[in-house]
Amino acid sequence: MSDPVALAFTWRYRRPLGALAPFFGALGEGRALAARCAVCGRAWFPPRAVCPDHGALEWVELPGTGTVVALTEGTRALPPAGEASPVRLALVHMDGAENAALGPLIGEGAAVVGVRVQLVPPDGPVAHPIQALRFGLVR
Amino acid sequence: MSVAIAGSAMRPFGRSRDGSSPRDWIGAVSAAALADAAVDRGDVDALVVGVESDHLSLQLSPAALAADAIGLDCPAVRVEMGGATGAAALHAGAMRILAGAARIVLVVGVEHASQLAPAEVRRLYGLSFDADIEGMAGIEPVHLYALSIGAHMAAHGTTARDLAAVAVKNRSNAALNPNAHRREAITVDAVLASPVVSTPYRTLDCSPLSDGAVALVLARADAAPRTGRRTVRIAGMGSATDALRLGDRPAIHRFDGKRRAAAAAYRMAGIEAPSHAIDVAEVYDAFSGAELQSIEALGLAPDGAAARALADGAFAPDGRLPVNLSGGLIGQGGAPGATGLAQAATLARILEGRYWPGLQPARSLQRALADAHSGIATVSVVTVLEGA
Repeated sequence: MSDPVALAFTWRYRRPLGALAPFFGALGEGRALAARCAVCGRAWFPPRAVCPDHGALEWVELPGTGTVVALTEGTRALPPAGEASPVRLALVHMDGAENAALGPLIGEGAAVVGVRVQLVPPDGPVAHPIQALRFGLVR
Repeated sequence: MSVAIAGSAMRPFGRSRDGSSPRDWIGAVSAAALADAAVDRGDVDALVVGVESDHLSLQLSPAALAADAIGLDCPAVRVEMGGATGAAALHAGAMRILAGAARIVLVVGVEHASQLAPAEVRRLYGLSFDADIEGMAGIEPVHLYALSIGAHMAAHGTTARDLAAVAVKNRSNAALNPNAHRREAITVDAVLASPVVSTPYRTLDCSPLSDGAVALVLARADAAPRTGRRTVRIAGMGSATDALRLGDRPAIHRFDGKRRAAAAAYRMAGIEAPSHAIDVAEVYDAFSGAELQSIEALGLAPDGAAARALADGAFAPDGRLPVNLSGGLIGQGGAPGATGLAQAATLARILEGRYWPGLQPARSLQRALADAHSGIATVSVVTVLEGA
C-alpha cells in the first residue's frame, strides 16, 4: 500500500470558562476562590459544579495555603504548544477545602508529603488560566 | 434471556506501518468475526462501534463509516467511554439484545493512535480527565496514576519492585501472544533501570499507545448459531463512576468506583465471593501499579495484598487466578476503542479452550472477568463471562 499522507492542522478555539470564570480570575491574582455549599458549609478547591448532597454552591476565598498530600516528579508540556520540561507536581489539600488541588511546585527546596505550601501568582501571561495555579513552599 | 459471545476476531495491536487504514481493519475484523460465529452478514440486527477519539481518527460519526466498510444497513451507533470504550460498546450491544431490540449484534472497536506522534497523543489523553482543571495545565495520565500509586505505596508498603513485577508478568505472557504489541520479555532489573517518566513510574511500567481493531459477534443465547464450541455467555455487567478529579476522592490510592462497578457485575452474575468464583481475569493495567489497584478494587485480593499474591504466583499463567494472560495493556497494548473487546475476545477463547498455545490454561475454567476504565478508574466497566 502507499505511504501515509502527511497532514498538519491548526485548530483555533475560543473557549468559554462558564461558571468557573471567577475561580480562574482569582487564580490570576494568586487568590484561592473555592466553591462552598450554603447548606453543609463544605468547600472545594478546585471548585465542584454542585455539592453532591445539597446542590448549589457559592464562592468563598480561602487563605491560599495548604499541605502536600502526594508528589510526583517528571516532565510536562504546557498546552497548547509548550515543550516538555521537568516538573514537580503536587496534590495539595488547601486549608479550608474538602478536596485537593493539583499543580506544579515551583522554586527551590526539598519537598515531601506533609510540607506546607502556598499559592504563587503567575509571573506572566498564561495560555489557559489554570496554568496560573501553582504552589511554592511556605518560608 | 442471556447474551452469548458467538465469535470474535482481532487485528494484532501495534504501530501500523503497512499503509492500511482503520476502514480496512474494520472490514477485515468484522468479516472474520462473522465467519468465526458462522453468522451471515444479513443476519446482523445492529452495529455498535467503539472509537475513543475523533482527534486521533479525523473521522467523526465513525459508526456510519463502519457500516459502510462492513456493508451493513442496520441500525448503527457509536459508543465512547475513554479507555473503557470497547467495554462500554460491548455492554451497549448486549443491552440491545437484553432489551429485545436485536438477536444478533456486531460490536467493533478500533483505534488508530499512530497517526499522531506519541507526545501529541498523550497531550490529547490529558484532556480525558478534567480538561480545564488538569489537561490544560499539562497534566497527562501518567502524572495522575503516579500520584495515586505513590499513595498506595505509602499506605500499603507497595514497592517499585512490586510494580515492576506486574510489567514482567504481562510482558512474559505477551511473548506468547501473536496479537501483542510488545512481544519481548523483560526483567525486573530492566524495568527499574528504564528511564523515569513520572516518579515512581518508569518507561517499562507504562502501556504503549497501540493501533488495533477487534470485532465481536453477540447473539441472543437461543439465536446463537451452532459452532461446535462451548457457549460463553455474559453473566454480569456493571459500571460506576468515581470522582472526575483525583483530588476529590476520599482515598486517592483506591479505585472506589471500580469497586462499585464490580459489585454490580457480581450481583448480576450471582457471585458472592469473587476471589473464589472468578477463574481468570483481564484487568486494566494502563500502568503497572494500576493492575494491583484494580485487582484489589475488584475484590480479587484484599486491600494492599495484591502485590504479595502476585509474588506468590497467584496471578501467573499457572496460578489460581491468571491475570492478563493476553499481556494486558502493558504487553498486548492499549487501543481504547478496541481494548475492552480484546479482553472479552481473549476470555471467551480461554473459556472455549482455544486460546494461544502456552497461554491456554490446562484446567477447565468456568468464570472470567474483564475490567476496563476511563480516566484513572473514573468510569469503570466490568463484565463477567461464564462458560456453559
